[in-house]
Amino acid sequence: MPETMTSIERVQATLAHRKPDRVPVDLHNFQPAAAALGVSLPEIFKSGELLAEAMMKAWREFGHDMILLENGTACNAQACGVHVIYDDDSAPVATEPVLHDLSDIESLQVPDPYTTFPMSEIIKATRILVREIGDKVWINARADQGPFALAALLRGMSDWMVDIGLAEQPERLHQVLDFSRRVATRYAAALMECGAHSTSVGESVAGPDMLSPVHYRHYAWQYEKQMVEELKQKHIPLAIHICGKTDAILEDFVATGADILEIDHKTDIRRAKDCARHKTTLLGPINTTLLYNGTPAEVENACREAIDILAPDYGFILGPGCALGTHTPPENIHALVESAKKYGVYH
Amino acid sequence: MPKSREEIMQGLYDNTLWGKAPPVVELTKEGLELGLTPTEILFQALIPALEDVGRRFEIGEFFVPEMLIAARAMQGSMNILKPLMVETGLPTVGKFVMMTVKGDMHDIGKNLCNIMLEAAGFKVIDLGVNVAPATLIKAVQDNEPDLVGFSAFLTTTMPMFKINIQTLHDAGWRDKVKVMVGGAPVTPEYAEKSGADGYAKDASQIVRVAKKLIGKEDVETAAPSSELAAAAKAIENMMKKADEEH
Repeated sequence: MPETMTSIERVQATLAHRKPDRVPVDLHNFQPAAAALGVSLPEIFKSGELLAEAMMKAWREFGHDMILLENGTACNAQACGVHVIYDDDSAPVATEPVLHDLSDIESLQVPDPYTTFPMSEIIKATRILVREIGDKVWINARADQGPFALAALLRGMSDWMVDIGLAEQPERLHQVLDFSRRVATRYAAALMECGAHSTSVGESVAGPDMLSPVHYRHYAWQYEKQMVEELKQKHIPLAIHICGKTDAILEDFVATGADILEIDHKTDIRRAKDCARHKTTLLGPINTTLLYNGTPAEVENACREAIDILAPDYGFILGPGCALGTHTPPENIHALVESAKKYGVYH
Repeated sequence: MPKSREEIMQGLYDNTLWGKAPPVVELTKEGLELGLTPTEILFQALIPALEDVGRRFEIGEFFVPEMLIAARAMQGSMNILKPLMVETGLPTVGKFVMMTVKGDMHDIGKNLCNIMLEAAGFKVIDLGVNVAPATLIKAVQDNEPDLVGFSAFLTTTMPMFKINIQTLHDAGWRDKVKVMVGGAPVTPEYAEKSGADGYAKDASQIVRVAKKLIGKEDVETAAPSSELAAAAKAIENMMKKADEEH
């Protein structure tokens, strides 16, 4: 059946909970896209030009409807002074935190995204993608990380979790979270100023694989909600990513008001659909391990099943549940993208 | 009013479970003054509390913050008990240099391994996370350990096993130490391919494998085997959940 919408119309309709011609498809592919360019990963993840080139090359190969632009999960942390290492074979890794004591938050400044590395490079990549292919494909420029995830990297994951467990300095914890919210919100707005169609943040460490639902609500939710509301005033659509099993926080997660929630296969997708129907668009949930290890036929089956459950009543974008591994076979990525066309048509 | 032995043991248990470090330290001191032995405190209060933490983790009552503060509370007591256990003649089974590989910051599993090894009488030299091969070599030269252990949580950092082992070889240390590897995505086959001598699926197995590698299977440790097995089970449960975190 011929397609009657462009990728951009398709995603627009989906986010508005109107009927698109078919389920749109997104790739979370900064790692395989970079590996396919034939330049070392650190060079690409530090360069807006190379990152844009990698994303365009992948888009030309796979033809997905939505590009998720990012250079890993340490961008905002690095912009705030966290030491980040760029290895040859992995995404950038945050190593040395900046908050040796929670009171050190007093001395941190919200970085200017236009002039602070590596935000400035992702901004450059956004501009290039918008100029080159922004009329053909939806560009979701990630303002990673979200308030809670950034706070954890500023403080160091273990220390941050201990701080939360002890709850000895609640005002300080909230001060760090509010600072992190302002960093992500400022960066998100900048990416949109450069022409991105939407933006997003990752908050995986706030999910129930790490944190109790009570702590999620207390320490993560209100900052996510505040970020959503502030961006909504500027008509900026925001996606929030929490992979892992999110069942215990689904209602709260939906209640952030985010336009898109990114979930993976560990979440009960039937329940997720019940919670999200007519309220928010779900993105995911294909298992990245299956995409890495499985066969195209297995990927197709998983996509078909996800579409059966998540596509009714619209508000669904097919995609991987998390970032694709560097060496994900291209034939499996093709199988994912083609499944949306094969099984995701709305009649 | 002075506390009874039972009250102290119960207090140690409860405060470890709920991650309250200062009372755990105080009660450890009080208990020792009252004549409790370090092994009684460790195996009848601290490790059972950790077992309870593991159980609560398993059923979704505890999460990572609760687990970490409990481990931290226990560590405060361990810092007092360890030197005493050495004094009271607990044999040092062997020296173990422990680390996560370069590029890998995930250390919850490694830290649980350290607790198990120390409880079993190993001297653990923990190099921390994201350890470069050169740092490993320096630590091996300085400490002359019996074993070294590398942990990797990511498929992208696992190749560091082979690089570390090659570096040990180049520095002339490969034949003098046994190498163990582990971490959520690591399989026995991958460990063997990397050139490691031993592999432990999780912290519950590490003591048995380590002792076997250095020919000390028969060395009795302070813990009665049944208690060690219970602790191992608790830690195994904790590891299973920890493996799922991101």
